[in-house]
Parts: sequence; C-alpha cells; structure tokens
Amino acid sequence: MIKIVSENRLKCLVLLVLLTFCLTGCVELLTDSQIREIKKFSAASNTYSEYPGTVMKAHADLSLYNQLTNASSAVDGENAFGLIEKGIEKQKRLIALGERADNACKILRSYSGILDKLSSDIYTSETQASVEKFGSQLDRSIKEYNQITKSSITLFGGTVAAIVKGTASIYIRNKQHAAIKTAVQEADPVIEEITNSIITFLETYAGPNSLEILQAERDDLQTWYEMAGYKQPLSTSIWVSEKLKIIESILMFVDKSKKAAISLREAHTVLMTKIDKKMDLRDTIEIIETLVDEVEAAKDLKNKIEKQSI
Amino acid sequence: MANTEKFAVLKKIRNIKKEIQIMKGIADHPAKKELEDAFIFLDDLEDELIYSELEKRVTEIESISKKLKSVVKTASEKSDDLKKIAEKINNIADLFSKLIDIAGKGAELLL
Repeated sequence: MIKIVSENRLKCLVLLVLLTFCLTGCVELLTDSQIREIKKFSAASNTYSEYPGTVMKAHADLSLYNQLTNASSAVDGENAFGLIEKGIEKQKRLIALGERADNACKILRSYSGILDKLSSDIYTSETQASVEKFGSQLDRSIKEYNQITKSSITLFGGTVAAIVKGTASIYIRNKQHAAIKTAVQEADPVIEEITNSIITFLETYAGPNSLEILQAERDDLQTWYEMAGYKQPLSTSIWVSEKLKIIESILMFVDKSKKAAISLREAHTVLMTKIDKKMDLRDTIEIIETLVDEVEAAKDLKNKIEKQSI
Repeated sequence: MANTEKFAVLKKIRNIKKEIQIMKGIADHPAKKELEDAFIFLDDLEDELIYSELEKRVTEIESISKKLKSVVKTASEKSDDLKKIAEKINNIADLFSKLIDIAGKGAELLL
C-alpha cells in the first residue's frame, strides 16, 4: 500500500517554512490590494501617454485649415499659394513637435508596463513545472525502491515539492515587493513633475494663464468668415461649422486631459502610500491571507503530484 | 519672456490682425495687397511666439521623461534578476530530478 505524507503534516511543514520567513522579518509581500492599485495606475497611464500629442496634432490640422481659408480670399495667386505653403509647413512643424511629445510621454507606458510585469506571477509560475517534475521523480524513485526492496517508505515527493514551491514563491514575491517599492518611491517625484509639466503644456492651449491658442484659431476663422467667407458657396459655411465643432472638441479634450493628468498623479501617490505604509492589522491579515494562498497553491501541487504517483 | 508678457504681445498682434482682416474686407480698399502682407507678417510672428512656447514645454517633458526612463531601466534590471532567480530554482529542481533518476537507476543495477 502506498503511504502519503498527510495533509496536516504538509500544512505544518509549509507553515513552518513561512514562519521562518516571518521571524526573520523578511516577509513583505505584494498583497492583492496593492496589485489592484498597480493595475489601476497602469491602465490610466497607458491611455494617458497619447493625450498631449493628440492635442498638438489637432492643433496642426487646425492651423492648416486656417491658412487655407486665408488663401481662398487672398488678393492674388502668389499670396494665396504662399499661404498654402505656409500652412503645410506649420502643420509639419507642429506634427513633428507632437511626435516628440508623444515619444516623451511613452515613458509613462513603459513605467506602467514594468510595474505590471513586476506585480505579475510570471516569476513564480515559471518554477511550477520543474518543481512538479522534481516531486514526481522523487515519488517514482521511492515507489521503485519500495518495490525492489519490499520496503514501505512513505511517498514524500509531493510534500518536498510543495515546500520548495511555497518557499520559492514567498522568496520571489518578497523580492517583487522590494523591487516595486523602490521603483514607485523613486518614480513618485518624477511622476509629479511630469504630470505638472503636461498640465502646463495643456494650459498653453486653453485655461487660465494660457496663450489661448485654440480661441485665437477660432477668432481668426470667425473674422475671416464674417469678412470674406460668408460670400462663398454653401459648402464653405458647412466647412466652417465643421471646423468650429472640431475646435469645441479639442477644447473639451484639453480639459479632460488636464483632469486625467491630475488623476494620474493622485493614483500614483495612492499607490506609493499603499506600498510604502507601515503594516497595520488589516495589512497583516492581508499578508497572512497571501501566505495562506501560497500554502493552498503548494497543497494543490502536492495533490497533483500524488495523483500522478498513485 | 514670461507667459503673461508673451500673452500681452500675442493679444496685441491678434488685435492688429483682426483690424487688418476687417479693413481688407472693405471691397475697394486701396491698400489691400499691403494689408495682406502685413497680416501674413503678423501671423508668422504669432506662430513663432506660440511655437517657441510649445517647444519649450515639450523639451521640459522630454527632460523629465529621461528621469523616469532611468527608474524604468533599474526596475527592468530587477525584473531580469527575478527571472534569473526563477531560472536558478528551475535548474536546481531539474538537477535534483536528474540526480534522483541516476540514483534510482544505480540502485536498480546494484540490486
């Protein structure tokens, strides 16, 4: 008859290993609520990284439209052509600047990407297969030994694998926590700086102390229409109304982007506080729950190996 | 030039541009061509002021993004270290599996 190390004994062994970690004071694990905050921040910054460039590209198109309207009522062909060329040049310059803004903001995406990676279970799941193989191999050898020598040594491959898996997971998760903590602490003042800078950039377009770029484009369009545009065919009026709607949308977008930048900054501060703060009872309970999860995962592995062994 | 000063200059330019556009709109204005040239000149000036301000802002974002890049680089290195740790655990587990296998086969031969 095959004897297997009992479940209670396994729990005791795994908990003993975990307790050793606790006693040495090195158990600071990523909890579920911390992972949730990381995911929240990650999603926000991923979307946000494209906002400044989008505003600038819209501005570039708007500049070209306004040069085209001026060209359509120029005094001569030479001036009209010059205005079109100027419009294209201006659009190109602004698009290039928008791309620079986009590239600079892409770092927010890389940052959220690395936080995502560091909080994932890719590192711990990688060890699963080899530890499982090791446990099964051990059980198979014990079974063979028992058959050959007619002895009845208890199968302990699953238990050993569970301990190895549990210990390795705790060790890796502890390292993950330390890596995220350092990254978030180092990034926090930079995130504040970059979001402030993005807000200042957006305020160049609209808002208090702005250069009222969008309003000026609108005023130019309005004056041109009132002086010359209204005399042109109906299609011109339709075209102007479309441009007015576009300006309205960009103004709304600038406003939303500014609010999003503030949220992004706040989300990061919350994230840092959550990761950085001293443990209270709730956090301790959460860490214990995380440890229990690890024990459960180790137990699943043990059961899996034992099923294969029987 | 501070933002408020820049805005004051821009406001003046925009007002003159508007005046020019209105005058240009008068059907038989004698200096239409000159007015348009002046308008284009002022428009270029306005563009330069705006572009220089935007470029200053983008350069600022670029410079801050470099600081974040260095944080990302360090974090990526730590992620690589974690992968290496996981690999080491795998290697050790594989090594033990092989050792057990060898020991098992050795024992079989001996018995």
